Amino acid sequence: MVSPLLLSLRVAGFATLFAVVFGVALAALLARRHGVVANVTDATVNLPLVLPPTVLGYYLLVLLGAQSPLGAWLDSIGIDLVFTWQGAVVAATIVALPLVVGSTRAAIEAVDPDLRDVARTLGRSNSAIFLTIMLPLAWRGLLAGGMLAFARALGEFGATLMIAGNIPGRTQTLPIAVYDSVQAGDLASANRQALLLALVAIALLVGIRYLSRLLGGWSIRDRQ
Amino acid sequence: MNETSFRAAFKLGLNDFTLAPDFELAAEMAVLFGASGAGKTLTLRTLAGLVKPDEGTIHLNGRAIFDSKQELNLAPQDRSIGYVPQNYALFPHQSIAKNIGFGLHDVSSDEREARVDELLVRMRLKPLADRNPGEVSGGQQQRTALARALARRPDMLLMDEPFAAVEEDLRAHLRDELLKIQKEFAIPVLLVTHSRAEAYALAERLIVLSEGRVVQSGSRDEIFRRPRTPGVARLMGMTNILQVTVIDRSGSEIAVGWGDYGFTLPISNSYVSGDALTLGVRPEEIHIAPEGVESGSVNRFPARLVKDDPQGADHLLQFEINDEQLDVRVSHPEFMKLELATDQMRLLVVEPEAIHVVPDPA
Repeated sequence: MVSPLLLSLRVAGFATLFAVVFGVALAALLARRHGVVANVTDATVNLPLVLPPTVLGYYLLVLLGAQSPLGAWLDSIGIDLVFTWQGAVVAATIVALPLVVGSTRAAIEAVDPDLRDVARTLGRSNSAIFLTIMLPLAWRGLLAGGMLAFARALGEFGATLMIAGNIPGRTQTLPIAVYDSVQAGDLASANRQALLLALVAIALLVGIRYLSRLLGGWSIRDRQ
Repeated sequence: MNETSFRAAFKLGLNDFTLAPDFELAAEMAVLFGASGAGKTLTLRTLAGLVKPDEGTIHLNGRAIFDSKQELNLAPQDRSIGYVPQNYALFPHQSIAKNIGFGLHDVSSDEREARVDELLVRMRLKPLADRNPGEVSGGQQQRTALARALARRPDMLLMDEPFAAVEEDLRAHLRDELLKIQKEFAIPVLLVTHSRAEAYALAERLIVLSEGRVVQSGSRDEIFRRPRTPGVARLMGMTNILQVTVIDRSGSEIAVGWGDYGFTLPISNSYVSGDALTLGVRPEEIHIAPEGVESGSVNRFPARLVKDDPQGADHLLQFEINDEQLDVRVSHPEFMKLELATDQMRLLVVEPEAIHVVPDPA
């Protein structure tokens, strides 16, 4: 048995990790590109922002279920994503991804393109330039994206319910627990759980503002 | 002049603009000069490898770094060309020392430290080594960017408007520094500017770019004294362009007619009566005769002073003659001595030696 809060934190933590890793890579690839491939990729990444989470969850269920080739293959190597907390991580990663990509991409595009050009004439490889110039200067955007992703993953409900279900102690995250409590008429539990979620979300948003100011400094001052 | 170490001839089409420069450089201080939009910055970016031309060749020290026929296009990383963009593009999150050492990733750390230290001392940046670029002056930022580009010991250096962000009082000093550095490193340095004074103060070779093409390239004095086209003449401050007709020729002099007036000039080419010529005269080479001097002798014209534009140490005056305007520049003391005032009729003197025949009037 895992408490809904701990389960939520675990799911959101893993989802943020994956969203940041994939999100930064996608942002680096998409920054300053406007070709067909870039536009289609961008639209696909952003789909979870406009699609109802239940639709997203349904597609995930179809895609990852045992009847699908992908699901069957995952099953054969021992990975079961349907009605497990790992499935909830997949759902939360996908809804959080556009937040990381959007925020990081904007931060990378705000870096003076001359910096990259000069670094190239100084003999540095593209990956070295990304790690030593782009990422350090886009750091605030990445951090903000990561925190937004965590907040979004923590509040994930629809897609998670579809793919992971509502199994107390195994896949019942905090938002689902709130829904469950209200359904059961247990308003005392619902109040406590809802308040907890709201407080964590507020703390995260305040944290984003505080950290971005703390890390501000140079990136603004030297950009007259 | 030492031997050619750099040569570029390429073509690059961008929407309705075509950049097609063609020039060569020795290990010298060269200035790429032209009006805004002539393609100066784009030329530098192309040489650095940041923009790929459609066709042509670029050679540095006998080695092709771009050749469209061989499908050769070296990356900026492999060209050994230092590039200092207009705003210097210093890395704002790294110290001055780190900035200078940024391109030294492929040398040992001892070597890197030694080279960075040497440049810090050379550029008088040593006390600022640990500061960030945002904490130092424009001139110090410029020297940091220069040091960063030189740290890799490039075979060529490109600089885009290097003095634009530096206070005027400091510029002359920084120009001297740059000339010294060019001599020390003995590499071609190609510098972009749209300031005539800067071009004149720096250039051993001057390359004039207009609408994407090199209209003239040569020594500084050649371009300033003998511009090939009226456009280059105007860019070089030779703002008086006169259309005249050859009247007579005697020995090494010809007489030409300009509206109601005429004057003589020394000439080596053979012209015949009736030939149309385009002449150029610098405003500072037209003199104003003191009051009382008689007209009538050669190369003297009465003209009306219509406008006085004081520019600090001197005045740019506009005279009207033959329904045309003539620009005349006089120093402020001379302006006072001559007791000039607008609407006066004065006698202008154009010595034959001050007149340049523009060879390519088209």
